[in-house]
Amino acid sequence: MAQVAAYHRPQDLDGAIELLARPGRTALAGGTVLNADREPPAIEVVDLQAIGLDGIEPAGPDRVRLGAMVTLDRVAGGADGLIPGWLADLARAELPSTLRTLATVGGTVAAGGGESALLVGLLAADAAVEVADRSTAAAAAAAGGGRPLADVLASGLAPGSIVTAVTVDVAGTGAVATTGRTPADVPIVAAVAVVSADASTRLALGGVASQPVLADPADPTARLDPPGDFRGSADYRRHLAEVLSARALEAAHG
Amino acid sequence: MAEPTASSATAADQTIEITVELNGRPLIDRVAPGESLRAFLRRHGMFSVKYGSPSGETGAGAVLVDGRLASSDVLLAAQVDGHAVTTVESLNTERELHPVQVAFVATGAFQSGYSAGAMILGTLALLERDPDPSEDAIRDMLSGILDRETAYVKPIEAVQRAAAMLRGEEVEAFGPLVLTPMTDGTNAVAHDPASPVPDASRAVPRLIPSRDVPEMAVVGKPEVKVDAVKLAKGNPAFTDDIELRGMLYAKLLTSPHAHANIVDLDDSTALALPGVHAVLSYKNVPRIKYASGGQSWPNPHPHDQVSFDTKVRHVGDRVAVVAAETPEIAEEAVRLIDVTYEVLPAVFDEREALAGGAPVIHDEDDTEEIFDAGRNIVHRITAERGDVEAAFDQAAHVFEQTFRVHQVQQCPIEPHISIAWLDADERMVIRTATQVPFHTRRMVAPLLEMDIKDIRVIKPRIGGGFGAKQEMLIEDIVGHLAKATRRPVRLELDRSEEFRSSRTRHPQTLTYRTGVDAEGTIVAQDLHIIGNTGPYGTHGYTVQTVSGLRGLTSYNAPNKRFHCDVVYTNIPVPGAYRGYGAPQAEFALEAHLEDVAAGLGMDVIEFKRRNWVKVGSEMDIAPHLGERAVVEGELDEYPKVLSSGIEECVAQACREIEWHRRDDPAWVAPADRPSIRRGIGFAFCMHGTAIPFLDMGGCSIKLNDDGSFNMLVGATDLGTGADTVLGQIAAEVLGVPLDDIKVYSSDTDVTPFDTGAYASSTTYISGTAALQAAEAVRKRLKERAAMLLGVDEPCTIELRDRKAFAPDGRSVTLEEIALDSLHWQEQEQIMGTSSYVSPECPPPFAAQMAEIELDVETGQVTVTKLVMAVDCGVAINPITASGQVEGGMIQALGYAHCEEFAFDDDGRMLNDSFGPYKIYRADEMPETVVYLVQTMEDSGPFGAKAVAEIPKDGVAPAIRNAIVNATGVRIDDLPFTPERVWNALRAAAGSDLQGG
Repeated sequence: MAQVAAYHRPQDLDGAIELLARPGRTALAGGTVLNADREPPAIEVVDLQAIGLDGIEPAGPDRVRLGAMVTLDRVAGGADGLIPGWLADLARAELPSTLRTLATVGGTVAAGGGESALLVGLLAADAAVEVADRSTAAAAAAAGGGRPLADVLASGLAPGSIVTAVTVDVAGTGAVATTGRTPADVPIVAAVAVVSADASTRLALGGVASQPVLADPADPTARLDPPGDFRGSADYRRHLAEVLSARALEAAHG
Repeated sequence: MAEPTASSATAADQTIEITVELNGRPLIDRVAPGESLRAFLRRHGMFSVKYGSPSGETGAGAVLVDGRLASSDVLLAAQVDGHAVTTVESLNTERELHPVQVAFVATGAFQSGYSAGAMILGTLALLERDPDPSEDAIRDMLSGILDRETAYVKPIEAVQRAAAMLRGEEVEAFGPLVLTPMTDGTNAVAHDPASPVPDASRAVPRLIPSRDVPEMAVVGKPEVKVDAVKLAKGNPAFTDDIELRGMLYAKLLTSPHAHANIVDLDDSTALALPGVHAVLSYKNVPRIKYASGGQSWPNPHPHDQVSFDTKVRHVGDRVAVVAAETPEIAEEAVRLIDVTYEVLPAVFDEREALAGGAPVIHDEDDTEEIFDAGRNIVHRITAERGDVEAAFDQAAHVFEQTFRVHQVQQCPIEPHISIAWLDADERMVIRTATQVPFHTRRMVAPLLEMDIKDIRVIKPRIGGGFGAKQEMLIEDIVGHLAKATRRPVRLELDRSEEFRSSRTRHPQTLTYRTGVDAEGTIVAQDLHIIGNTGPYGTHGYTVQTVSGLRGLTSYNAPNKRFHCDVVYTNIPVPGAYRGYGAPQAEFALEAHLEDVAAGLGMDVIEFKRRNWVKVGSEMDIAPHLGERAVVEGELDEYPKVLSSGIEECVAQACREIEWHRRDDPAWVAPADRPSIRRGIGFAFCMHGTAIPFLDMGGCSIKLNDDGSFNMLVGATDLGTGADTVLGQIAAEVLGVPLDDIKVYSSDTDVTPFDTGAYASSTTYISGTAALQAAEAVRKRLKERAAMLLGVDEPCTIELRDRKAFAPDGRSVTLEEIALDSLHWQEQEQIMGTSSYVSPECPPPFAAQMAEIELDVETGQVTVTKLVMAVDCGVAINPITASGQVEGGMIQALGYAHCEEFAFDDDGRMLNDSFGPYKIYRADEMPETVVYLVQTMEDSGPFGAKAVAEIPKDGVAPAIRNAIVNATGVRIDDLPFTPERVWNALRAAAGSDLQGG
């Protein structure tokens, strides 16, 4: 459990931004990562549950906007067809039932991690991350369309900032290919391919770097230098990336 | 509920006021900012909310938050301010159970019941949203509740049954599907591909009755478990479910090094921390040698442990312990202990530990009876019958093969937990999650420098053990602290400590040599094992002995030899784990003989059948192994197999798995899935039933005023249903329903002695004690009934339906006998006591089948179906027996497929949490089907043999042999993780290329 020195629950986004502007404070979304930290430093948490950010709504003809506090359980439910099945399935596979009801879209993005197959899916879905901080009003963040998820994963979030929403392309055809120790295991490598409405193809890979990465559909393993661990060596992960990329691309192209 | 309000708590004001709707009622309380919801709920008496892990993935602490199932481990109590929280206690407003609870009880869905509350709450939430959920939806709901005991089969059935009940539908009584035997009980029948597979729910055991087994009233019936109601209600029944005034919380400091001398330890800063009451280490705890394995007196040597040593021998080894006012203070104090280590070279592989120049792990001068401390050899175990080398010289074929099996953990969802205090008489009371309360009392006494008579060990409900709790693991620590502080002290291992600092399964390197004559008959078999016992002996001798026993007993051979070196290394400590050496040996044996059959060009079942033991076969290596081993010539007669239903098991299992498909190329390599190969594998399984001349169980039964009985047993129900089975045996003898037997186990002050729950002994040993105690009571009941009925010959009286009947049909109730004997004439307490030790060890047999799919491009193996047909004699309760088989298979599946300790180069475990250490969830389980083939084992109570451990034996080799069927590739190391399989496929492809 986190060593929580103080707990704050702001009632709106501005209040949350104000609280998080001070050092030593951390945004608390679902808590599945933060509160499970086994060797935590003492922190103050700013619980975002009361500030809204829990809507799922269309954002133009081909995109859907997921509020940062939308739980993975709701994404897994498909939101009455707003979310494509392959992305809903990834949200379902991300965590077991008792944690999926707590974990949020914003928390998933903020926590990052190379093993998250949902992040791989969001990358492939051309996710854009809306972020608010003291210098950026929430409305302005939304109007700007957000930062590409790949940038957020690569460079992280600035201290004091809050993920407010993630928008994704839902018009494309997506396909997922994974390999794990068991059917519901966190994938050793995950590949997600999306053929968008304009026939362009995006391919994202997980388990091949410290964060999920976009890959070249024409040469998926180019420049890959996967880390190895007890679930798969670097060579094996590179091999999986090649096999699974081909499968995902073939399935996405039908 | 009111809208959440702006709220804030800081260190300055320490606590925050929250308002929670708890089980429908408003609750206002102040909480610390970091208090978890689980801690908050337990503080308010919601004991159904259990600890399984701090990160929530066990689900034992799941509750409903605003109607959604959520982990209370990773929620702060402050986060639920303004929300509704529901625990299973919300259902307990009346004595009667809610229909969801009824469904779980009726289907035998609880074994230990540790996570019962979460399962019931999840079901309530699911059925609220969807009154008729699909099986996938049910599995998804259960995906967040890890169950190490049931394989999720019966919980899924329970949810479906609850849904039907709540929809107002009639549900049938839950019981076994009785099938017609396919064999005459002795001889094989040919597999008929056209024979239809029986169609029934997977939760229902298929029962094949034997003509030799009479119809009985209670035994053999699917009785509801005697502890089911309290488990379903989440009543406070487990070790942690008590509150003691002034209780202190203990926290261990463990070693970060695999091998190091402790040069100095400074606890002054920790002791100065307000709220700290004691810090114990080698500096203030007497150095008294012991061996922690929970075994009968005298514990096997070497006694190579002390409570706190000046040397650490694995990452996670004990260094010191703190007792403090709160868990948080204890954790802080642990961080303040300053330890100076001299780090030493370490060795982890058993083969390297034997090599010259390896670091010596036990170089102290006060440990006796290490076989060769300088070479890290703890024990050398040898046994031989006949002349193995001469037989190999004369054999037509000799096959040799080496296997490596790995380290895994038992993973009970309830971790080790003990609470100790001094009672009013200043005796030490230890309430503890143990499989061996009597061994623990005897073993802890010298460490605490107390007499056995001044120690009382209470075993409450246990949340699973599987051997991990067949150990005196932490009881000495809480005892030391209770003595030092004179306060109650509680110590619970967290999940990481459970992995690093409790017990595991022994890794081994096994080499088989098998000589076969021209007809395919085995003439000689040699098994050489290097067993890895980690840094301490504990169960190292006996586990490896069982490996030799099981590895050389299943098949007849006139010449057999066993050689084993048990070696020290610096891995976390192996100990007892369900199966106890058999799963390692049977993996190697069944894989080896699969390959021998292929080498001979013989059908694998025909080859194994030709050689496996049958009724009348001698179990000839057994007497030459173990602490009471004899040498050849000392025995007039070897123990023999007296019952075996293996041919019926094989016939039923072949039909269920559709064995013929393995020979169909179109099935093995489906045309529409070019990267997939399918396979079916078989393993023959043989286990033991208790340890002859050693395991002992006791039972006492007394009559109450209303004709019911109190039954006291020392046996330790870990969730296996032992209390129920023992109660059924007594009820059958006494002619009463099971509900009239009130079973209590176990408390060293109150219940008779029992060696404990291990070695597949409870039903057979403790069951016979229960049978005999009940027979003693029955004899006296008949005498009193004869007196009341004016019958001259008490032996003509029959007990049934809570009455005693005279031959002419007149009867007197047991209540009338009780009132007469307790209150009216020739007053006496009718009671019976018995204990039992067996000279026999009747083996259960089984046919294990596995069906797999293998992705040849990635190496990923997906197990799609497991079938076990088991001859356990008469299953006293077919529901609990099938639950044992289902749960055993899921553990064995993990062993074969995905579970594995992973370390860095310095011996630090890399995956000491669930997830990275992968155990199966409900939403990924293969289909499992259980057959119970009856045989009448005359030496067992009502014909029973064991069932608890044999499910661990065959899954790994069956999967391995299925991989052979699918691909032709033979993998001799466990587990079958994707990269290992992929490497094997590549190596095979490479050798094919090399071979042209």
